[in-house]
Amino acid sequence: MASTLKKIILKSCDGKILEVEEAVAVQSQMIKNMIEDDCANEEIPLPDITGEILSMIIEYCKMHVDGENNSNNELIARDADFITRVDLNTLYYLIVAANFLNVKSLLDLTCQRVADIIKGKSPEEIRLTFNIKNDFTPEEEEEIRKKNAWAFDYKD
Amino acid sequence: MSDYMPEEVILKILNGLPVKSLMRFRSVSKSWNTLISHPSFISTHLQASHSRPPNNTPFLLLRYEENGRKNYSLNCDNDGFDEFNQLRLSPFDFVSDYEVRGSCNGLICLHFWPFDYLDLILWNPSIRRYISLPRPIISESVLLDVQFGFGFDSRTNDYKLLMVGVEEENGSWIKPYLFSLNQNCWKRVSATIPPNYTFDIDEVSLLFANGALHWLVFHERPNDEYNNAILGFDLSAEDFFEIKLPQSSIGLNPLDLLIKKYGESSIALLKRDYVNHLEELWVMKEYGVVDSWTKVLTLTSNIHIRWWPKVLGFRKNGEALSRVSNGKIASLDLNSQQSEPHGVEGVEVATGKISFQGTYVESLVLLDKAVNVHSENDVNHPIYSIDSSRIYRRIQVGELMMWQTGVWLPDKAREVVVLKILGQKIPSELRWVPNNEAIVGWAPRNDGVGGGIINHIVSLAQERRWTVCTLHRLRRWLGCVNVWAASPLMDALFWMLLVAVLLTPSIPPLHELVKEIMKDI
Repeated sequence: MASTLKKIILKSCDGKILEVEEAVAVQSQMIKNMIEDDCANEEIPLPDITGEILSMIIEYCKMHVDGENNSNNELIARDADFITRVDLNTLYYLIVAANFLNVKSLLDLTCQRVADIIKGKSPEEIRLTFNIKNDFTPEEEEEIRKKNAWAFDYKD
Repeated sequence: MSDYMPEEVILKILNGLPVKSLMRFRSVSKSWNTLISHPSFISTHLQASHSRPPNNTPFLLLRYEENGRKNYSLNCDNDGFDEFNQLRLSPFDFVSDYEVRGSCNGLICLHFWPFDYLDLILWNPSIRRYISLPRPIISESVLLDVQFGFGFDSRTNDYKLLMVGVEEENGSWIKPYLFSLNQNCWKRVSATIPPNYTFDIDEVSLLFANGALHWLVFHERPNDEYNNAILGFDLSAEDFFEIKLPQSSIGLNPLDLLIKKYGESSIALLKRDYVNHLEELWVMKEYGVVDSWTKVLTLTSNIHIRWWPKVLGFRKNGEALSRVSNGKIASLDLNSQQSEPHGVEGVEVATGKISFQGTYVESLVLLDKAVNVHSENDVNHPIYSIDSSRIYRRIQVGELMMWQTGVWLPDKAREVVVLKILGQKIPSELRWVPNNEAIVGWAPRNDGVGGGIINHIVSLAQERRWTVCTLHRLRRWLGCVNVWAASPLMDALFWMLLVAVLLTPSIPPLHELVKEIMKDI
């Protein structure tokens, strides 16, 4: 039976080939569009996504297709279980891939996870995390920090 | 994390952050600062906050009274109603009497009625900023009373405040005034309140739901019959409309009815049966559809009717908040049709009288506004300057307004003196303060704010040669005048300025004295 289901073939940037059922693959809006445009009959190369990340994304999409009949709370619990296993560095690649493949629910999940991780950080840590250059002059920075001094109370 | 993230992804991450983190991250870089305070980000962040699942940090806004003082707190919408924040941690701490006139998208409309019935601010406690509203230019000679309603016009992305009022002369409605935050000004609404409607302006509260303000009105007929309805004011169309009540409620005494916000955008009706000690809860399942009024709950109330209403409001998950005993509230599942919160242990939120003001969401609203916006730690709060200048202005307006005059004089022991003027009706308390009696009430801390007020008053007094005295001296001076302190006897460092001036027995009658003071100013 399974062989009659249409498979989509994805190729990661490190050459890994993954065969995915169409129902799972269409969780990605990008692939869905390609199928609709009849461009998904051959293998689809994904130049910026490694095999490891691609497997995780497929695992996630599969989880959502299999869990379609589950309650909302169950899905939330599974999402939480999936996302807490991922470290910040891997999260970054997952986000970039989810954004490229346009898997909306995964993008929401990963971005919220990043938000939850960084919410207690200092501006200095944020600059390091996102590789942002501090373009304030020391006076400007002092001024804006003073205005929001209460937000630097890290109790919560 | 890494070198490059598309901007839309950064935005998505920021949308998932709490307000406090965002306020801190404004100092990450110039572009983050611009992005976080941009109106479109404020809107998308708000939408993201609204659409989070119910157990994910929504808050309830509760009011409770303690020692006669009103306090507001934010509580988490969880089973323990855990306190999230005390709203009294604010620059308005020294004001003992203010009311929340509405709350919407994280903005709270506060009305400092004891100072002056037109002192209003919009306050966003989560970013610790507020905007003090300009005063409407009132053309009516004297207004007897006013009431306010606050809400959001999603069509123009604007926050609006409606003021309805009764004219003193003949008790008729004035054309309402409407404040727009985008315009930062008041205007007259061209529509008038339909003249055949009436309502008790002291009792009514204007409820925001589905883009409109609502309140209960009735036509009074000669033979004591009523004809109740809900009057709505569409904040976008700026016009009035009527919503019919369920048939069984139309002829009741309006005092036995109350409306509450139900769900995201509809209205619930509470109806009490005085005789049988019953309280019925009706909800309009579909907003504006009269046939959708449904009775969802009947509560028996063996406690006296002063516990009315038992249902305080609704949680985000649809359960009703119900008062179970003094200071305790419980959550009722409307689907299970439980008539009493059996087996539900009420949670003590705070002592004293509790009322539910609505659900609250943290937001960045006001962060993009520059005009008249103040941060809570500003040294010069415009609100502080109210005390000296406006007290006297109100006296000048005439006897009628004298009841609203007050003096707040803080001391180092966290107390303040409040003088409610003599022999005048205090409508909010529905009683009279007898002649020759002053009320000494609660006060704020002597923090930066309190200290500022003391200094201000002392320097004013020196400049204008007012008599400044301590409470100790005041008591001697006043002789027969009954000064009662709501707090333990205050120490000798209280500065009692106007109280002394106004109450010194050897001075001329009050109105003469007021004239004297006015000449000096």
